[in-house]
Amino acid sequence: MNPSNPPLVVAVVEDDGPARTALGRLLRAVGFEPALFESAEAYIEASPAPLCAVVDVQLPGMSGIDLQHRLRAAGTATPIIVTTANHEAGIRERAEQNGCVSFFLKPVDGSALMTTIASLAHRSTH
Amino acid sequence: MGSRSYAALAFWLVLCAASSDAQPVVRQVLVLQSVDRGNLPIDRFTGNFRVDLGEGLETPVNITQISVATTGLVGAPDQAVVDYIRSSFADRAKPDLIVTIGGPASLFARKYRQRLFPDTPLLLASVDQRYLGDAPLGENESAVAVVNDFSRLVEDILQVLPETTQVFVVTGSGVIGQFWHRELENDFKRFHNRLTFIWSEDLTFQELLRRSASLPKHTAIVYLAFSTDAQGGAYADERVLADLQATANAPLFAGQSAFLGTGVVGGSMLSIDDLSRSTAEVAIQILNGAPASTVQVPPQLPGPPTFDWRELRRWNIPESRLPSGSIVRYRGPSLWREYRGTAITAAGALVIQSLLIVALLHQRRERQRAELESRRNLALAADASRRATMSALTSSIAHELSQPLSAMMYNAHALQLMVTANGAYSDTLGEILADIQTQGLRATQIIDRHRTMLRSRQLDKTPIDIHAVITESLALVAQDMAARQIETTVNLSAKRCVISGDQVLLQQVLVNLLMNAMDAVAETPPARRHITIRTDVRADDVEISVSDTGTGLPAELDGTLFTPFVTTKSHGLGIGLTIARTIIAAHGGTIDAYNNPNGGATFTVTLRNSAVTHALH
Repeated sequence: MNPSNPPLVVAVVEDDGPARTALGRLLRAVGFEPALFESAEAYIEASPAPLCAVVDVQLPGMSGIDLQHRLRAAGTATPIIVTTANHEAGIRERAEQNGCVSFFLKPVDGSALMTTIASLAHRSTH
Repeated sequence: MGSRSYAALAFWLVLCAASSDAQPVVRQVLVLQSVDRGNLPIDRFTGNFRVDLGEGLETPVNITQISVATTGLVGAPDQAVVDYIRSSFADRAKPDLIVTIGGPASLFARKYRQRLFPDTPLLLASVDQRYLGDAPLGENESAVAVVNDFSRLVEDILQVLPETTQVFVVTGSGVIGQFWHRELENDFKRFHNRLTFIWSEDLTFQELLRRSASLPKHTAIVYLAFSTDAQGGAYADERVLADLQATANAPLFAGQSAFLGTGVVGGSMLSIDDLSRSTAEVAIQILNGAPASTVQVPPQLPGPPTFDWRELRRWNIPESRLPSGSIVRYRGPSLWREYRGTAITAAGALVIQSLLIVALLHQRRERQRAELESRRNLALAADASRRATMSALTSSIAHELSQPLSAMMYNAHALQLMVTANGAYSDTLGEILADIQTQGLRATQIIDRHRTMLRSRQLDKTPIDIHAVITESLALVAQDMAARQIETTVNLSAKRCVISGDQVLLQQVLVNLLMNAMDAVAETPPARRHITIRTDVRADDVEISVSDTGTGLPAELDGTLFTPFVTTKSHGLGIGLTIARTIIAAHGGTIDAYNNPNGGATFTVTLRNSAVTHALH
């Protein structure tokens, strides 16, 4: 990343406050600009255009999977990275069917997540 | 002041001195246990020891009991246990005596002796001589050791069942199991041309039951312990022995008196009662001031062979074969005494009498057979239920922990990047951050390991008729339903519905839903207590619903109904529906609940039709 460019925005849709704030800090420390949302509804209302969105599956109201579905139906090209603490069978398959670029089980390996986002940034700037 | 006042003052002073002398000193005893509750000999020993100690001491005694090893495969690190023990004495009197119970606790106490009150006398109790090894006892240490002679037990077996060719050894999988497998393999070498030994520490409990139900002829089972199975599940001797006795096709033998009466035939047994008594005596001497190293007792050996009369009969072992000096316990009434009344009444008619006896015996055998059969089914169901409970709990704990753990790891990572960027990095700071990350990773791995364990839990899937499962579940609760004056309507689809599933687990879900419905209508007037069970077999799936006319689902439970530990019942744990959901999810189905428009609630279970077609092919 070139420091003279404005930082790339990464959206985080996560209802757990401490996890959301902490992920925001990590993104900022790596050099991204975090945009934090506590629900899928809040994300849709703001309709941001981030580099990518890190979306939790279990959210109050609309789930992360539903959000993915909705964005895809609306033709939005934002890459979605899905995270979940829920390891019931079939969640990963459903996230992948809806076209997520990457899937992480919680607790998430921060380095791996940052590497994934950095590779998306790399792709988008080239 | 007159002489009388002086006398009064002196008297008062004497009184004061006397009362301060009488001020009882509470003795602090720290008991370090090898395993959590459930190990029968250790539980019996500990119970006795506490009573004997309390009775034998002049002063009151305060016992702090801590388990140093875990039941299961993954325990807390030793250092954490040491810290915990130290912290529990941080702001009160140090222990006057440390007593370890069992082998693993003795190893632990000796290993961490320097950090665990090195000036306090240490008594290693109920420990097999083999655990003490060659390391001599320290200055301030004493031991009440035992010699478990399992070779002698095997000789007893050969004497009462001379045709025995195989011995199935049950040790469980944890630290105790591993230790004894090693030791006994060596001890039993002398039987190599006569007996084959089968070891069992790589079996799950379910597998153990299955194996023991189909052992080859002329096999005997030697039971040592079973606190942990190969998957890390925790078990208690009493339940394991009851289930084993019901399912095993070979007789059980054990070498400790605590096991007599729980279904074992018998053998030369170490008396746990004697052991706890002599341990209490040693502990009392040390607490009364005797230096530990001067209070030494020889190791205790097994006592005379002791047998359970009922088991001797069950396995057709004549008493003439018992080793000389054997003791027979639990002797029941003889046939004659049992049926004397009958015999006298029928004295005039010998033919009738014999017919009667034959009939009674036949009935008795039938009843025994039926009891055995139902115990076997219950044992299997109970095990499945324990496993499901464990799965659901671990799964929900892993789930709850992963969220805060994520936050911690992100924070540590961010902090590391920030201090590096600001040039505020120091070696200590680096170490601290690296430690936080390493420990976070370790916690993550523990969660992952549990996930793998859950995934590896195989469902015992067979083609099952959903309607038959419903009918069986209803039969299980029928009596209770009638007693509670609840009417049922069963409205099953005319289409037959066979799916591939785990019968025991699905039955558990249905019974759970029925019991919940029964609890829900408890407040409803008897005339309106009604439960409806219906099925809807559709092209894609089958829906099973259980509706009641009860109080309905409270609004505050909305969204948390299937979360563990959420309950409306004063007597419930709140895990029934969590388990139900885990089971249904494992079958690829869903479970939902809603309130009925005209009162009461309905629970629906939907199982995918892919399972249906799959089963039919």
